[in-house]
Amino acid sequence: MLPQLGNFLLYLALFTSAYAVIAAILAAKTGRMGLILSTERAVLTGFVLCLSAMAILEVLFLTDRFDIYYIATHSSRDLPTGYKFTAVWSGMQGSLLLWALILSGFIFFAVVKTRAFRGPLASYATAIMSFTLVFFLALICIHENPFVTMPRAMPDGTGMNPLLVHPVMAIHPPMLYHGYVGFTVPFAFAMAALLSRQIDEEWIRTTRRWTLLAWFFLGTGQLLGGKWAYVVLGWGGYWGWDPVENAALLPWLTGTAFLHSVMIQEKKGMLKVWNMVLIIATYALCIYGTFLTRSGVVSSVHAFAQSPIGPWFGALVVLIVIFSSLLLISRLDLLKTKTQYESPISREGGFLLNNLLFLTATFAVFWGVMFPVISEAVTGDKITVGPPYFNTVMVPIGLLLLVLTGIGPLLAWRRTSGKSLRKHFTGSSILGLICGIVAIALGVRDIYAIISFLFCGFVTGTIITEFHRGARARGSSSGESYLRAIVNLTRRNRRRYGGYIIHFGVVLLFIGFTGNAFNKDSQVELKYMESTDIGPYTLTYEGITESTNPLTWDIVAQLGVYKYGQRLGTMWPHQKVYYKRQDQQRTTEVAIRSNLREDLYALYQGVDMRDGEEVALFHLYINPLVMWVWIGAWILTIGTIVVMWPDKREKQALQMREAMA
Amino acid sequence: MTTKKIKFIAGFAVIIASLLTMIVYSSEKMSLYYLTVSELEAREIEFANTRFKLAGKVIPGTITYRDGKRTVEFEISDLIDQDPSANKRTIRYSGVVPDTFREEADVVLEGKIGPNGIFVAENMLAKCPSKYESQSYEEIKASYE
Repeated sequence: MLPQLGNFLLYLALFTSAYAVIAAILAAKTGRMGLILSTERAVLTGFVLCLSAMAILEVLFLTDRFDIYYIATHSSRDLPTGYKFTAVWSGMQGSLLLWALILSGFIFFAVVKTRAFRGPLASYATAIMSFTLVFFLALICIHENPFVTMPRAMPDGTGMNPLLVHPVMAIHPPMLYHGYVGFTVPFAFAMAALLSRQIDEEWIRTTRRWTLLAWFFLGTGQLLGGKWAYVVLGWGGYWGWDPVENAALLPWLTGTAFLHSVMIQEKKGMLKVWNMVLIIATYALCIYGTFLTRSGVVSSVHAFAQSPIGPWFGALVVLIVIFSSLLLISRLDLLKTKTQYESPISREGGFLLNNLLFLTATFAVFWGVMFPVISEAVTGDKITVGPPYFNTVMVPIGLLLLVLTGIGPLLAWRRTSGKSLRKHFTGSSILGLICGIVAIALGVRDIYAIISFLFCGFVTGTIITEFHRGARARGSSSGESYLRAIVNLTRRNRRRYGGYIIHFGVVLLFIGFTGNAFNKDSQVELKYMESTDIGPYTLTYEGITESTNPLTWDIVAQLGVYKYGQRLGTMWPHQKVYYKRQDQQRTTEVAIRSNLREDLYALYQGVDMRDGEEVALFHLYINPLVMWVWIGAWILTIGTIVVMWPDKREKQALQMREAMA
Repeated sequence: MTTKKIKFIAGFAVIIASLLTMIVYSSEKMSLYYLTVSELEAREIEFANTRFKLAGKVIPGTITYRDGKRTVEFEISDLIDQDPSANKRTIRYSGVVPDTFREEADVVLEGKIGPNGIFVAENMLAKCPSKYESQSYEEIKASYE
């Protein structure tokens, strides 16, 4: 009876959430405490119901209930228990349920957090978030129900696709969903601010952490996806400008712009309309991405099923855009700002340029993704653009953004004098030039790569300068040691110095991206004990072993790795054949040797006969600096934790406001 | 409007205009036509010497490997499911064959038409039939009942 119970809970959650929408709207209009409390209880109930439904689905997966269609097609007896747990979100139905669960959790926590200042703002926000939840639950109940049973149970499931059986793939989808769902909260509060005409900076303060969290998950979720592509798909890279990747990149770009430009509003009360536009765009793009990947509008390597839910998401995007635009237009008179710009060489100017570049990048990616659709509509021919287009356009935009990362934070508000510019940037500029010259001396000839190293050096210089100046000033006034001063400085100004740490993570990412300019690869055929050179390495083919395992038949090639005649180690690129699967799927397992300088990346592609002798076929890659991408991701994570860490003074300020209210 | 403000707006306008021009210009210069097998048949001459993308489904029983697993020849079609006499096209591809490549997989190839009308592909994207699942609900029910 468990599947039926799960199904029932889903419907119950749907109706509870629908009630929450209505109750919240009424609460916002009347301000009656009873309604507010009732809404809050409905939200809690919705969360508990979604959680229970998910728990039931998990139990069904763990107990191999192959009479349920979704489980029969996404799990199997031989799947390790950990993967049975994560197999729940390896398909559409479970993904949607996970999405709904995360959303209901976010709504619940948002309600708990805003209990201190109940009122129209919080009530409208709850209504909008709950409406989104209703949308997802309705889709699940009507189109993509994970609890649908079959007349008789299958003896075994068809299993999870072997390509997805990887630790990264277990956490990549939930992270992306956290990102997508997270942006629902700032969007809902922005719309609630408009609806309730409570247009101060309250909605921004309330949702600052949510925005950061969503931004962080969306970004690292994508990096994890890249990691998976790199180690599992085996085409030698981590980012291919595929429509699915681009779909996740779009809201991240506008979200990053939003994250920066709300700071101006917080500090100066400017850009109120602009910030509304950005958060609307970010949220619409989150849903639009889902629409793109599920509707089959654009073709992608990521083989998502085309599903009847595609048009639903399309309709939701249209609804979001129309509703929020009309609302925004009707409130334009409330969003006037009095402050004026004084000089382009100011913090405001830096932020504006940042926004401009992020939006241009968004447009460039959007244009590239939609080019086939647009060209077909205009000329009748489907014309596509690929990686060459994206690289040509995005590399210069990216480099401009990188250098702005160094300049922006050091500019003073309102205007910056030439003297202060010289004082702040002389050392960093010299460091940048040194990096550029060293790159040229080491033989780098790619102009973008040289510029990139130069900018990376410059930005790193500005970040070091900022920490150094702060620590010295603090040390001399309090007598703390230098290191102590740096720690306390960061703890006292988490947003500022955490931001610098994030910027440093971005620098490292760019170092990794720049490595792409020097990628090398070669296809070789090697006889037994024959050697080949790639980059500084010499690889010797040392034979093949085959073994039969419970699930797979493994063909493992052995390569000895040498550098300057010294044996460094052994690589085992191999192929696996899932011989028990009906489709006999094979996977190519990459062997990677990473260090800070470069990755040696080897694929084994099978054997062939050449002049009566057997040869093994390999595809070898040298991918310089890739490891810096993953290190950058970790620094980014640390920076985000620093920025998000609860701040005592902030809490006190909040309590003050509560006491006043 | 103050001169300062005008300068400000003009500066940003110049940056936007140049970036947008770059985007549109690059997209036109670096674009490739995307055709299905049946669309190609009607416009064979037009695409005789151009690079383009060709899409279709791998016809079962036509995959042959040469040169180890490095060169693969197969036939694709986009309408074979509905009409067995539909146009087919032979593909020759040398390079890393994606793990997702198999009979009935949807493939998108990038390359040119070579001698004998064979499409010589330099890039291949392959998508498993019906997403990352191997069978549909109907198939499972049919095979089981």
